[in-house]
Amino acid sequence: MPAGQRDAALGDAAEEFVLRVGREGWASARRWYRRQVWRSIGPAARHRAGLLVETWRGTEGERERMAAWINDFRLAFRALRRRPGFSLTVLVTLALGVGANTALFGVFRTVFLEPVPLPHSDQLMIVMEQGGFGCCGPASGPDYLDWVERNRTFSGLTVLSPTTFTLTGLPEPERISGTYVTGSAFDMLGVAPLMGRALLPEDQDAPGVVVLSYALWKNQLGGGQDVLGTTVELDGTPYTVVGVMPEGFDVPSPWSQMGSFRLYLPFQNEKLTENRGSHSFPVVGRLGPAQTKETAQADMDRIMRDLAAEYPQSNGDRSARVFTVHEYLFGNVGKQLGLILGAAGVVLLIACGNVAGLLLARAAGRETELAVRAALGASRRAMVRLLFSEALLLALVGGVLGLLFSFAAIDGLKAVLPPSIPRIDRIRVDGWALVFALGASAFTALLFGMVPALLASRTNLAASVKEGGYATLAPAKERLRNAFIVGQIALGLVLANGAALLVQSYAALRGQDFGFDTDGIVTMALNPAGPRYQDDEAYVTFYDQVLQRVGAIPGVTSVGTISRLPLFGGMNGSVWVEGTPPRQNAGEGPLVEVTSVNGDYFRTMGIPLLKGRLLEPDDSVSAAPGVVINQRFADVGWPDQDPLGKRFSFDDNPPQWLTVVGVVGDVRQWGPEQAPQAQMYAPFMLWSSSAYLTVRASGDLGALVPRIREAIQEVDPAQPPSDVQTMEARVDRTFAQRRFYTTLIALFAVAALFLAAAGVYGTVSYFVARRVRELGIRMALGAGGTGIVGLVVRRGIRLAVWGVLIGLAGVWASTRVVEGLVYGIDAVEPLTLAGGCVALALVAVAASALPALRAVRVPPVLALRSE
Amino acid sequence: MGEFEQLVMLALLRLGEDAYGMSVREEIERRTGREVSYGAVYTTLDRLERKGFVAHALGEATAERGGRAKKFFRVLPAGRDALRDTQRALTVMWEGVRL
Repeated sequence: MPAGQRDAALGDAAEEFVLRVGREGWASARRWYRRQVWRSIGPAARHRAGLLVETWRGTEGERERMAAWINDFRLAFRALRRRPGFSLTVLVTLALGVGANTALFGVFRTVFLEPVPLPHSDQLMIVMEQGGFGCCGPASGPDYLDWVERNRTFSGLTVLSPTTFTLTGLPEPERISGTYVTGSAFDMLGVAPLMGRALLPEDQDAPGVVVLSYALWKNQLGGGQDVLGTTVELDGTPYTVVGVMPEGFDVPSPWSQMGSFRLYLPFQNEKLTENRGSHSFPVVGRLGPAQTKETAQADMDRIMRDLAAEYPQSNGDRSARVFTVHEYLFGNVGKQLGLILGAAGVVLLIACGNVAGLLLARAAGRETELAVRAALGASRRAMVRLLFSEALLLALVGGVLGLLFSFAAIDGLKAVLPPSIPRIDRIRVDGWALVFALGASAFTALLFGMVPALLASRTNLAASVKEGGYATLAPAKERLRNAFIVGQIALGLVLANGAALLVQSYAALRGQDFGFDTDGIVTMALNPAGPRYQDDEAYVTFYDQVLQRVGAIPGVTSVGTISRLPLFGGMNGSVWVEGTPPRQNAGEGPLVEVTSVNGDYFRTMGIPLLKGRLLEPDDSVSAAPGVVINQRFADVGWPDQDPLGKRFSFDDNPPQWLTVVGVVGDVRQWGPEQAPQAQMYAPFMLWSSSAYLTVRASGDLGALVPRIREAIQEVDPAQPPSDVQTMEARVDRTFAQRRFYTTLIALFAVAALFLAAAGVYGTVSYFVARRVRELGIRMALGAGGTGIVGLVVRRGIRLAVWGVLIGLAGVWASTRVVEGLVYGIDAVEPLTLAGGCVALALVAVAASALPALRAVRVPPVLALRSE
Repeated sequence: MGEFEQLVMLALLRLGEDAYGMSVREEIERRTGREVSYGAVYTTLDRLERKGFVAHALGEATAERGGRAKKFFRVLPAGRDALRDTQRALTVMWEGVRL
């Protein structure tokens, strides 16, 4: 609608609508209104186009060209409307292709491309230490202090110590996560508090103050302006609120996504000067002016070399790695999403191939028309424009439909994205996605429109007219169409092979033995803290009572605790095995996972006892406490010996011996993809006062949870359990991300195969349809049906073979991408690949057999008459 | 002058003081028996206005119009001349023609 008339027109329509409602009823008026809107689109668009030409400030020639384009668009629009089947097929294909790609791009952009929401976030780095355990672990306090002192590349470095707290003093105690940070942290991150003040370096000497996150202030503490100066109780200790950070602010941490810390406490200085060999602090820093990640890495290398020379005991084998915060937090998920986007792009390419094939065939059908145009003096350029405008129109409308589709698709994606993917809630179709959709449509138009247009415009006048409407593709066009099909098959093979590998590797991961049961086990986190828990005795009493009470609940068959659940990481240290030479440096000796267990843990988790006995209450009180180790530790620590009764220690001076009393089966502690590590289970608390309660029960686990919760609150109402989940759900969750991308890529592969099959079918059908007469003559001369089918199918097979050969080259090229994502299998699995080749060949045979069989069924007489 | 432009101009002349979008649309629809869209009416009025054939004046904005003012159109002398020229040309051409 012309801008100046819009208001009046809408007003008129509204007025008439009201009149019509009174006259004809609501439904009829609505129908009328809808028809009005629909019918106004055409005149309005034409009017707008006309004005564009009139107001064009170009030269006369430019205006003419513009008018010619508009005219061609009009022609193209009419031509497409005359063939609704063709147009609809193309539009749906494009809309789905562009829509899926746009939606995925929206996800990719928000999750990966968007910077970390902090000022100049490209200068923010995470610095990790690298030692005996590989890459990458946190730093030790003294190392951090030396980094601060000696570095020449960072303008600021802060150390974190993420912790969970129980927020008490509310109607319901609640577990929240927070972190200790050094005083300059907020300054370094470049964010000022919303209210009050940030933490200051002075706070490190005088703890007792806390800065709240916006979410904690708003949700738990009421969001009042008077919050400053009030106290909050954390683990039973009061802290004074001195500030509130703005919405969306968070300190980046290598172990949590942005937005998870709810409060910030000042680091206590004495914690940083403790043991140089104990590594538990991740470090975040900001690069100084004109510094890069590389210069920072070189700087850290220098410092770590110096420290290694100064403290060979603790730092002999350690180095530091510098990551940008963005790559550390989002690098992995970005790679996976990039892969999905790539797969979707491949599907779009294949779809474009199909559309191009359709357009080529259509152009062949218009050979006579084009010849006449050429004979009447149409220039080649004018004919290309005419043909291309059709493609452009299709692409534009397809793009707009795709954009609409992407809105729905992105909502669908958000619902199925695994929750471990960061920033899900912010995913949307934004301006960039819009640009992407338009770009993708324009690209597809060029791809499927330009080449056919160029080729079709090269019409052989004499031949076309002479054949009298008997239209076939000229050899060059035929070759081009075949090339499209070969390309589609090749891309299909690459995608199908990649998808098959991912599915295989997912199945391999799921199918493997983790070393424990998952059925019928419910787990929850316990984190006793507060003034009641001043010594080990208090913790022991708490856990003993919990085990006792939970064990007494009807239906519970066994109950135990463990400091870290299998598959979810842990803590480790190097040990000195008795009888081996004394260690030169603290990092020497086998690296052993340290876990504390309590109660009937092994039976609850179904971890088998292989040798010796399980833990007994006395084990914790002896001078050389008894511990249970796993088979792997037995193999590493005492190869070819009986480990029972042997001793080892984490400390050297003096050694604190632990005695092996039993050997249990291996479990995967660090995740489904990590092989079991040497591990020991101690019957007492070591390095950690928090634990996971594991309960095995018969019957409905869900119904049991409230009773377990009650039992725990009876022991101490201030220590609610958190993170309640069945073991099965936990295991399932660790696979969510992998399952997500495997499923999506498999879906794309299926779509790709389907499209490739449609492409082959279309080409061969076309071939058959154009040669009905030839085939009829052959049959009239006595060729058998089998021979004819063979003739046609051979054509399909020839295309398939070429496609597979080129596809194999593509597979070879794609191995590097696939390598990092598969587990337990090679990036090239001959059997999978062979299967993929055969599958594609079969698809090609089937797709060409259908039209061949149809051709044979046509009686020769009819076939001969068909011209 | 195009056919639809003539129809719109004639509707304006017939309606006189009361010529605005809705009445023009209804007048053409009622007399010719073909469904006419607001899109067609207003793009034509816009074009005629640009050519200097018609002019408009704003009327009242009522609640049932969603608070949007009516736009009353009238034919300018230049429009009358153009319409007359068209009619003359058509009449001349039609003379003696039997279909």
